[in-house]
Amino acid sequence: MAHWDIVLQGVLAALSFKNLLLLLVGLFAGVLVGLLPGIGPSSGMVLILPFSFHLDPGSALILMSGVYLASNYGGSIAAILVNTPGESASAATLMDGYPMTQRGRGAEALGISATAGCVGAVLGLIALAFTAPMLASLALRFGPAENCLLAVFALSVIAAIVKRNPIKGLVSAALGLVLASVGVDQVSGDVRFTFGLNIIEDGIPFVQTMVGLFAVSQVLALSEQKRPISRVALAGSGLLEGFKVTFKHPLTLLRSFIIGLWIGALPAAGRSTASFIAYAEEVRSARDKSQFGKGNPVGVIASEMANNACAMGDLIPTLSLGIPGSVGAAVFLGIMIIFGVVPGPKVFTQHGVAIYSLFTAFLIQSILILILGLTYAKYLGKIATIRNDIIVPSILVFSLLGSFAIRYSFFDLFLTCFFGLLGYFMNKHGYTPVPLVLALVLGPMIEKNLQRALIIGNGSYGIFVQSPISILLIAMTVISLVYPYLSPLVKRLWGGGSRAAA
Amino acid sequence: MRAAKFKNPPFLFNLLLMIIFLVLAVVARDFSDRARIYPQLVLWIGISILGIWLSVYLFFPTLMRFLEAQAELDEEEMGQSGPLYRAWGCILGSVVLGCLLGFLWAVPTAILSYGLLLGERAKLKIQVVYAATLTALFYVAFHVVLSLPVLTGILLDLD
Repeated sequence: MAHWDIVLQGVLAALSFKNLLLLLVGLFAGVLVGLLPGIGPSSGMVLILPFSFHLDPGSALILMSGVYLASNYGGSIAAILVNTPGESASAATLMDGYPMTQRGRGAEALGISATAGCVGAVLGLIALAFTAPMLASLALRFGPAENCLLAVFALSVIAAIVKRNPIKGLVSAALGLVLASVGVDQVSGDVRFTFGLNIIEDGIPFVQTMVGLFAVSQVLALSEQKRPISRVALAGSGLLEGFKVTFKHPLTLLRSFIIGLWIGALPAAGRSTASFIAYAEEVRSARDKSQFGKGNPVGVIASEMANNACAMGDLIPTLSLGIPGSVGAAVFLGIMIIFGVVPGPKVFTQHGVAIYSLFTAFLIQSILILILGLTYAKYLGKIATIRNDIIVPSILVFSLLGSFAIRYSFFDLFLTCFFGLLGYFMNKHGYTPVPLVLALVLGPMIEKNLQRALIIGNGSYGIFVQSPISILLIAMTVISLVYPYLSPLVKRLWGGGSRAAA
Repeated sequence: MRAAKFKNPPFLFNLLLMIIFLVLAVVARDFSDRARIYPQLVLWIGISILGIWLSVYLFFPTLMRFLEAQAELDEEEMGQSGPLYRAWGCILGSVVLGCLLGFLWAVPTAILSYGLLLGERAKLKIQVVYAATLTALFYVAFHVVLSLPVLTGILLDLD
């Protein structure tokens, strides 16, 4: 099929009634997830994952894309109106967004947030649509050895960078890789590590594991928090004013877009980093720095633009190489693999329709978020003030029922609870469950490519150092693992050098 | 001081994982040649990483402090154990109740018990209303709208 035919089919698929409905459901779920502090896009996507199981891959990804993108805006509404960032990426928005509300310009801040977010997402999407296929076509030359090493690199990046503790990250990844080997071996038919439990012969179920690690662990974490009762500040009027103000700062938009997209494209660097760097850059380049933190619209523009551009930038390495651009993208990548849309060099040829319908969904969502932001956003702040004792049991029931609904198994409920406790423990002690989930999903791919590479190499591991690409991937894996330890030494040397020069 | 070192949760977790990995590595020896390549590779890499961590933790505390110092400081402090145990009790209790008695008993009990144990106990009537409303909402969303069978208990079939 010609490239443009695939694009057209993808666009038309996204515009079907069912998919538009799913898009709206995902969008509202995303705004809700963003508004509720402590949940975040990763947990949000995982919560609705069990209910998307009966959908075709394209429709399921459209549903997930709503949560992925709209949670940004939900988080910003909470930051601007309630002084509580719904998610960490909105923390930079709070610095000037809430002071604007205190000065009676809350609606304007919401308008800016919606407009800058929309512009950032649309421009980011254009960059994604053009660069990801190019990057993927370069990676098409990869053989089994390179594909295996690429997956290992993706894991090492997430393991090393998420909490900047590579050893604990690697422990989490190793646990995931071991869990991935549970069940019947596809090649030999041997049953591995089931210890007589027939229910895990097909492997450890991904979705139930993810629900436990992200949703149930979140329930436990939220139970410990005594959230102060917040009040929603009055937004006032001026939503359209926010729209106009945004375009009066084209240089801020451009700078923040570049920062957001670049940080997004870097593996494992998240949205909060992008929005804070963009904010800091605006403070640095401003003539009058005293207005920042007191309700300067430029601060909101920079943060929102970078945040949304980063959300799209995150998907560039995720879709084209299978290397997640952030924690949220890692979860999105896991979900894509669960639905059989394996990100990487072949995704645009093998699942082109699903990918282009995903892009179309992102575009429609960006526009819908703008419309929502310029009309009803100021009424949504109240959701952020719902008490924990209502939110938490609702999440608990929702996640457990979802986990059960996949194969109507009581065993899955206990498995979800077990992983919930494990996820809670890991988060509390500096481990991150993200490499575990990613390893669980990537494990079968790594094993398949490892076996193929060994067959090609006549059983010799030398095949993994034969091509320059393999050597480059090994070098990048090593660098990603030692980087968190070397960077402070480099900074110290650099700092010492510059002080001496001064 | 020395005793505290051995009670450190990450130490115990890594030690437990290492023991599990070692047991699995022994079990994997019985697999056929093709089936054991991947698990053995992964297990021995895991055992090496855990071995390095445990050795550094036990014998090189200065190096351990340097390694841990580079980690992000967003590591949440362990909160009070009371709310955690109560929440865990709610989760496990509702799962067991769901398996035994089904959705219509487990869901309102989970919501109500959570509200009473971790929310505002004084507002019992409001908590009951919340529990009933949320149960109805979940029933409609799951069973009516999504046509998913909700939990049916082993002892009671009140679905």
